[in-house]
Formats: sequence, C-alpha cells, structure tokens
Amino acid sequence: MVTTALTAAVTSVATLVVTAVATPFSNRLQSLIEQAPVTPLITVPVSVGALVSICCYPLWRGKVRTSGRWAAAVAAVVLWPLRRIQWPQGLRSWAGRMLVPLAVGYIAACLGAFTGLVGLVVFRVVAPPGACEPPRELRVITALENVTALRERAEAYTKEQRTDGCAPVRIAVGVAPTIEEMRYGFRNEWLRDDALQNDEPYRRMLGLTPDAWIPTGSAEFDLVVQDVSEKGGEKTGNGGVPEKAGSLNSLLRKRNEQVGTDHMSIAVFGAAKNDLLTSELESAGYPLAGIVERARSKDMSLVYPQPAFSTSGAIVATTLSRAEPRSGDTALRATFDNSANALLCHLRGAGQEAADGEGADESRADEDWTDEDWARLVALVPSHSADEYNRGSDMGIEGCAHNPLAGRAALTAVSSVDLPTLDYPFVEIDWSEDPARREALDAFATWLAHNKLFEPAGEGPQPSSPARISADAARPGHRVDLQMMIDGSGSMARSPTASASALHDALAEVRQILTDTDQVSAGKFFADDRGSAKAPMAREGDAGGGQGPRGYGEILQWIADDTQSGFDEPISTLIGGLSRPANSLAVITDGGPFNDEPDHGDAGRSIRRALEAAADVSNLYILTFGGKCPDGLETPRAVRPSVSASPSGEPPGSSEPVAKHVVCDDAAGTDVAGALGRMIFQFREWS
Amino acid sequence: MAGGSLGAFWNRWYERFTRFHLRLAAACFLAGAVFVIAVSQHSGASSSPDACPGRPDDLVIGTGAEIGAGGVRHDVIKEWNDEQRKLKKKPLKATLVEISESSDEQRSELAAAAQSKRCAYDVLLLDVAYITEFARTNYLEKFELDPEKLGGIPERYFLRQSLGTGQVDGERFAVPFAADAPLLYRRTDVPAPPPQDTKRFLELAKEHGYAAQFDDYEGGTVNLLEAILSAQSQKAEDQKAQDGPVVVDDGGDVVLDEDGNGKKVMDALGAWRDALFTVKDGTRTLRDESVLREESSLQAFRTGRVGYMRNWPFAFNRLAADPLMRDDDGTLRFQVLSFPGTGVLGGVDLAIAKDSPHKEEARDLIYYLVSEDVQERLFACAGYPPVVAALYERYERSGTARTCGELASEGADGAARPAERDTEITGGQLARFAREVHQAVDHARPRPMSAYYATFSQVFRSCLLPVATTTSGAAPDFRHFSDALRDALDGRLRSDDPCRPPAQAG
Repeated sequence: MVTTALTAAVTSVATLVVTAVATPFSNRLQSLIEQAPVTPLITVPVSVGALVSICCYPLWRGKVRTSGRWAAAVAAVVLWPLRRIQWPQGLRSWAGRMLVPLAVGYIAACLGAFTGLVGLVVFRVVAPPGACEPPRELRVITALENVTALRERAEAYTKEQRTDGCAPVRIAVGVAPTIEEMRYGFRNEWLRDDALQNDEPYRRMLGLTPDAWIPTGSAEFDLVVQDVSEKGGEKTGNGGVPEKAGSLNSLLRKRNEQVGTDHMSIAVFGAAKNDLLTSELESAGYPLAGIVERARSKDMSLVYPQPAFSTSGAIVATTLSRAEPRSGDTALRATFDNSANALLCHLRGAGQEAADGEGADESRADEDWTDEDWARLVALVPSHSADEYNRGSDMGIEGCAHNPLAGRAALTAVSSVDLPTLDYPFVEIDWSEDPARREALDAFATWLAHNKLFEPAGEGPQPSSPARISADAARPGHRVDLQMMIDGSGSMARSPTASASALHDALAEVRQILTDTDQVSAGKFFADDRGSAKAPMAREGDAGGGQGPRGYGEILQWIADDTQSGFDEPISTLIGGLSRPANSLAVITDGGPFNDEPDHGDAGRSIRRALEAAADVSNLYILTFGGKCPDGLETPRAVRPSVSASPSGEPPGSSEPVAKHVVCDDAAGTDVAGALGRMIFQFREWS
Repeated sequence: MAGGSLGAFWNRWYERFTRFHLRLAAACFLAGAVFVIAVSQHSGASSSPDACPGRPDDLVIGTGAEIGAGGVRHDVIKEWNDEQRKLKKKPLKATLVEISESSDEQRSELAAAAQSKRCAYDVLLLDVAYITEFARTNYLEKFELDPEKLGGIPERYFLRQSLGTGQVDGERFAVPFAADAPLLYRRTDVPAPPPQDTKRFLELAKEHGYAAQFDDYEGGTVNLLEAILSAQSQKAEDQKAQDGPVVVDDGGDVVLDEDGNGKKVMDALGAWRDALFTVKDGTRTLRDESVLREESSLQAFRTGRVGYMRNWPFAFNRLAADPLMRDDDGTLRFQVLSFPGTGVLGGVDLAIAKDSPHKEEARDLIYYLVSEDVQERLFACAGYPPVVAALYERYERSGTARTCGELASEGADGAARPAERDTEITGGQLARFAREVHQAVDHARPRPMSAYYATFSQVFRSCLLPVATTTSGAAPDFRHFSDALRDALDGRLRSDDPCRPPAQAG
C-alpha cells in the first residue's frame, strides 16, 4: 500500500517536473514539427530506395529473398515487363557486387538524415529563441461601423494564437467600399472603376485587397454577387476597362455560420427619449409608422446614413420603401454620411457643442441651432453603433473620440418590429488559391463564429425579419440638373488637392450616387490676360460620346485633359455670364476668385446679388479647396432636425421667403470625393 | 527461432563488411545529414519567379495614394512610358497602382502580395520604416547601385542619411526616392517667434499653441522618439558633450534600462507634457491640438488655431498653394524651420519585388525616378523632398532655384503652362524650403531597424504615450519595459503588461 502510494507520488512529481521542463519547449517543438519540410524528407529517401530496388531487383534474383507473399506479388507485377529479359551474366555479377555497398549506403544515408533531423530539432528547441517567423498577412474588410469591433476581435484572436509570443497571423482590418464599388471591384482585381482611364499610367485600388469580407447582412452579399448583366441603365459605363461579367461563385465563398448578430434600431437621445418612445408605442413594438407619426408631431427628424454609400443606410431605405412612407416626408431623411458611425459622429459634434454651451465652431456655424435641436434628431442605425457612441470610442473616425456618455447626451437604442435583423456572414475571397491562406482564414472564421462581433441585445421587441436591400431604394430619388464650373486659374491648376487629376478621380468616385436621370455638365471659368471671361463647357453628349453614361465619362476626360488656364474670374461674373445655365450650379475653386469680386470686402454679397439676378439658377454650391469662404455665405448643414430641413432651408419663423439656395463649403482636406458627394447630396435636397 | 535467423542474417552481413563499406557508410551518413539540414534551411525560400500566371505584361509599381501632390507623379510615369515607346519596339507600360492612403494598409497589402507569390508588383514604393522587414523576409531583390547610371558614386549622388535607409544587414535592397524629416511650421501673422532651441521652443509652444501628433498611431511613436532625442541633443548642447543613446543604440539593442536612461526619458517627456497641456481654472487639461494626426494638424495650423506645427515636408506644398496662407502680395503667412531638436528620419524608398518577372525594366525605371531631372520636377512642382544631394546644392545657392513654371517652360510643351503666377511657389521660397529640409534630414535619426518595427512601435507607444499625454501617466518599470521592447524587436508580444510600474515588478 505504502509502496503504491510512494510510487504514485514519485510518478506524479516526476511528471510535473518533466512537464515543467518540457513546457517551454513543447510549443516550439510543435511549431517546428508543423514547419518541418516533411514532404521532401519522406518522399526523397523512399523514392530513391524504391527506384534502386525496382531497377536492381531483376539483377538480384536469387541473391535476395522477398519476404512475404504480398511483397513477392508486388515485385512480380511491377517487374512483369522485365521477366523475359536475359540479363548478361557480367551485369548480374556486377549488380551482385553492388548490392551490399548500395544497401549500406542507403541505410547509412537514411540514418544520417534522421540524425540530422533530430539534431536540428534539438538545436532549435534548446537554443535561445530568435526572431519570430514572419506572420501570415490576412486582410479582412467590413463596413466602417463594424471596424472597431472587428479590430478588437482580430487582436484577441492573434493574442490567443501566439506561440512563445509569436503571432502566426497578422490581421489587417480595412473599411469595405460601397456595394456598387464592390460589385465592380470583385470582378476587376479590386481596382476602382476610374471612368475612361484610357492611357493613364495609374490605377487605384479599393483599399486593402480582402482575403475575407464581413458584410452587414446576407442581403449585401447577395446584391454584390448578383450578375453584372442585371445592372443596366445606370451611370456606370466604363470606356476604359471592361467589366468581367458573370458569377463570382468561384471567387467568393460565403460560410454557413454567422460571426455577429444585431438589428437596426431607433437611437434617440436621452433628452428626447420620453417625447418619442411612449408606452403605447412600446407595447406595440415601436412600429415605424407610429414612430414617424410621433416624430412629426414632436418636430423631430429620423435620419439615416446615405444609402448609396452605406449598407445600413440602404437597409433603412429599403425597409422604408416597403413600409410606403409619405413621399417627401421631412421627418425621415438620409444624410450625406457614408456610415452609421459618421452620422453619429456628426450628432456627437452637435450635441457636444450644445452641452459645452460654446456655440458652434466655424464649420457648423448655424445660428439657428439651439441647445435642444440636437436632441430632436433620431438615428436609424445598427444598435451596436449606438452602444459604441455611448462608450465614447472614436468609432473609427479621427477626432471623434469623446468621454463616455450617459443621461441626456447618451443614445437609447430600441428595436422595432419593422426594423430588420442583421446577420454578419463571413465571406472568404480566394484571389490566390493559396491553401495555407485559406486554412488560416477558416481558423479565424471558426473562432469568430464562437466569439461573435455582436450579440443580440435583450431590450425591446426582438425583430425577426432579415435585412433586405433593394438596389432601387439605395438610389437617391430627386433628379439633379447639375452644372459644375471649375476654377480655371493658374493657382487652381497647381492646387495640390484639387488639381484636374484629383478632380477627375473624385468625380469618377462619386458617379455611383448619380443616376441616369441626372443631367451633368461641366465647364471651366477664368479670365484671359486681357481680363475677358472664358467659360469653355462640356455637356453630356457634347464631346462625341452621346447621351447617357458615356457622356459622363467624356466629361471626366475633358476635365483631366483640358490644360487651358488663366487668371481668377469673379464668381459673380461667372454666374451673370453663363449662356445655358442649369438649375443647380456648382462652383469648384481654390478660393482665389473671392478676392476678385467687385465688392472685395463683401464677396458674399456680390455673389448673392449675381445669383438673385440669374433667372435660371436656383441653387449655388461653392466648394473651395483652400482659401476661406467669404462672410455672408452659409456653410452646408451636416444634420438638422426636420424643422430646419424645410425646402426653403430657412429657420422657422423667417418672414422673408427665400427662393434660392447658396452655400459655401470650405473643404480644406484631401477628401475631394467626400466633398463632391456632400455637394450632390445637398443639391438633391434642394431639388 | 526468429532471434536465431536474425543473428545469422547480421552475421552474414558483418562478414561481408569491409573497411570500404565502413567509409561508404560514413560518407552516406554525412550526406544524409547534410541533405536534411540543407532542405530545412531552404524550405522557406521563395519559389521560382517564373510562375506568374495571368499576370498582365505591365511594369507595376505598388504605392500609396498620391495625396496633395497634384498628379505630378502620374505625369512623370507618363513621360517614362512615352520615352520607352520611342526607344523600344515592345516597351512595358509602367503603371502606378495606388493602394491606399494609409501607410499600414500599404504595408499589409504589399506583404500579403509577396506572400501569395502572385507577382502582383515589380517595383515597391515603401515607407522606410518597413524596408528592414521586407528585406529580411525575402520580399525584396538586392539592388547594387551602378555609379555609371547615376553619374557618380552613390555616396555622393544621394543624401547620406537617405542612402542609409535602403541598406539592411550590409546589403542594399532599396534606393531612396523621397527624403523626409520633420519640420517646424511657424505662422508669421501671429507673434510666434522662431525658437532657438528645444527649451525655448517648448515655452513658445505653450504660449502660442502647437499642433503635434501624439495620437495613438505610428506618428505618436515618432513624436515620442523626437521628444526624447531632442532632450538629449539639448542636454548635449548645454553640457558641450555628447550623450549616449537612451532608447536603442546604434547596434539596435534596447538600452532604456541602462545608466539612468529611464529617468532621462521621463524628464524629457515631462518637459514636453507641460507644453501639451493647458491650465484652465487650475485644472490641467490636454490641448486638443496635441493629439492630432498629420492632416488634422495641418488644418489646425491653417485655420490659425495654433502658432506652430510639427509636420513633414508635404505640408509645405499644401500650405503654400492655399490662398488662406498668403497675403495679398503673395507673401507666405508661414515660415518653415528645421525641427527644434532631433527629428526622426522618414522617407520613401524604391525597391524591386523578389518575384517580379521584369527585374531589369524595374531597375531602369528606378534609375529614371531617382534621376536629377525627375527629382527636381517632383520637388519644385509637388514638394517631394529630393534625395539627390546636388539638387540641394543648386537650390540653396542663391538665384539658381527653378520654379515649377520655369521647369515647365523649359520643356517642349510650353502651352500647358498656367498663366496666373502670383500664387506659384517662388525660387526663393523653394530655396529656403530646400535649406530647411536638407538640415532636417541631415540631423534626423533613423528608427530602430527591425523586421518587427511595427511591434516595437506598438509596445513603445503603449507605455510612453500616457506619460506624455495624461497627468496620471506613471513611469513603467524600465527593466521590464526594456525586456518587452527587446522581445518586440524579435516580433514577440508578452502576455503580461509591459508598462507595469516598478512597485509591482517582481
């Protein structure tokens, strides 16, 4: 009994000691075994041995015995063609002499190889660890509102996978482009659809080439993989690179499991929560019709991201279109924000200004923005976005971080029986047919399915209808008759951010938010050395491309190619001198022309006067890259409650009706496409 | 029975075993062992570069998006293509593939492309921070510089500091394309005088506002390193004696835990922290302008929220072209100075991808891109700091600087030249810019050279950024922190907290 106990104790201690000693090495040993060149180490000696045996066996007949019936049978079959050959006696005798040296050499070589392998393993395991092996790079994309959660999960996964501190994979998380861009990109090596690229020596990618993509819902995946042939009639024709039509089944593989579960929600500020979320509506499961009605009666706006840019926005737009809301309902509006997070970031800016009591900063200088206006905005966003907002995260947007919010400034997100659920499928993209990459992705996807990005929240009614996206609902409604006039001065030609090349690329990018019913023309304005105003124009169809999609591409090419330039011409002169002006006029400048206005001290007034005198122009949007918008011209509004989003654009109670709109956007950054998108969005609101 | 037959078998063999057999066995044993070791060592090597299925016959340059440079890089490539069409019957068309604006995404994309061996790129335009990683992981082809093609020895042709960025473990893998070092931008329309040294600068920064990049990204690491390096150079200046490195020595070893280096780091960051905070109603709060990034810093500076800004040279071209930054007579409303202290060396290098099927053509294109003419054009028209030493000599000499307009009019096609010239960057402005960039590059220090620099940067920043940007940021246990940094340089991340304070260190 005592002996047994002692033996057990000694065995346990010994096991513990051995385990403790071996543990630091075991991971490395495992990694070494995984990385060992197993295939050549087994195949080379075996094939050499087999080859020599097969070749020499007939010569060694009678000298070596085949052990076992099956071996004899194999030898008989393999050597059947050679059975009748009468080998020369000399050769047989030489082969006989070589039998022992060959066998000795082969066995010694195998032993040497085995010893070498063991020695190598021992050396690597015992030797102090050097640098890690380079990790496998994996690139995963998802919508901006999911990026923070995915980055956190990717980091946790990498941490969990570390062996001796070394990560086997490095996962880069990028922002997925829009549905329209993905439809093109997956069929065209993930390159942007830069219209009429022609002989240009550059192509632009849509960001990281994804190894995996996590769509917001299966509906997004379905829309992207839909055959290209169904996409007729849109303003997407491309004269440069032909789209590869056809199925994406061989490239994209949607896995069965979901890596997240969430739902679209109604996110309302604490300050206005009781105004909107009544107990009657709660008991009915917050039906959309009831919420909209209540919002209208309380002068509130329900806002959602731009459907053309954001999948969440497209889901909301589709849901609303199915619910058949009143046409032109000012209580329901898409903003120009390209994601749910961007929308919430705007709301935060507005809320913070009100909370700080410091008024608006220059970029949001809306005099009629009162303390409580921000609380009258209700966002239709995924519920996790509202949680992220309340946590104070930067939500993947530079400069958006803030302190955690609670109470009046925090958002309360409730689900609605009419708003859909969001499943988050994991889609693998097999660009390179690399089995190791695929294996790594499978492992990550499996892990993610068990450690989901988002889990369903318990509060409110649990929606069950899956998200749907209709391509039509994602398209903007109001037609725009747009004339873009680009500053043709020398300084504009040298503009680092808004050069002809940059404008060409940006206009190509925003083409997805234009429809085939929109009318677009472009021109340049400048004064020649004698001070005469010039305004060369290109309209759809003018440049020989015919009406429709090709026309837009031709305009882009004209913008990129036209090298004429001159001196600054005042914007008021331009407005007065247009021969066939469109209803909506966009002026893109570097700010130089403001200094040449007749009333130099009050350029805003000169421009307003010219606009009032121009009978055919109703809307003027000045986009300046550099310089500063003159006093007296308002900046465009980011998000506003319904009361201020009235067609007139004037604050409530304004006694003087204003028939024309004019704003000036100081887009000093490098996001030219974003600025143009905002501009088109604003024109749509005005139209 | 079986034992008997086995014994007989071995006996028969042993009888036939001669000295020759012994030698043969030894030789084969050795050969077997050597074979295994050789196979193991080369199992990770790249496969044949000939296997590039479906690859278009272009010369593909993988690069970041060109922002704020007015498309000059495109023009330069277009001209190369035109030239090749004249010279060759079947020239390869060079095409820039612009990956992303984010440097991290560029790195990830290029590394993934190299791993997948799709031969996606021939030439890589890489941030100098990643050259070591790409060279050591065998993604880059070695590049021997040919003095004949350069028209001089490389050491004279290129800026010394920039040339060093392409060298890894004694071998060259990349050629400098654009130099980079931090500059100090000062608004001249506010009473913010040019600082004489780091100490004075920190006082002025506190007074007039300073846009810095102490946000949690690679720029944050660079700003931290600069704060530490600047304190050292200030101390060396005060004491008239050279002080040793405090973070990483020239051999790449972490020395933070040696000779009171930890205290020096804390003192340095403490001095900068004072400038980054403001006191309002007796409470110290971090200024919004202290934790920006490059682009947001530029916006804070141009709108007059701050009197000073630390930024890279790209900002000069953007600001100089902005009417908001010019007086009515065209005079710039800002001044460029070399960074008051020691900056961290940046830049972009050109390298040939290991799996490129067009290595010779790629080499020719690289020589073209670093030629004096192209470098001058990129500098004068887009603000790319040149890597060619002779250009700095020319621009710094009075009256020999050529503007973008002058370069364009010297070309054959003068018709494309813009008529309006009052906002064009003048020769004098370019000369001053060149002088400051030259000085900044000369005095800048490279980042630690490691294939895992990104991991090092992450660990370094995670512990020291709170010290500089929070009032509660405590000193880490520098011995433990240094070990974590050493591991990070090898690509290892520790499972414990690298920033734990000394009291908890065990």
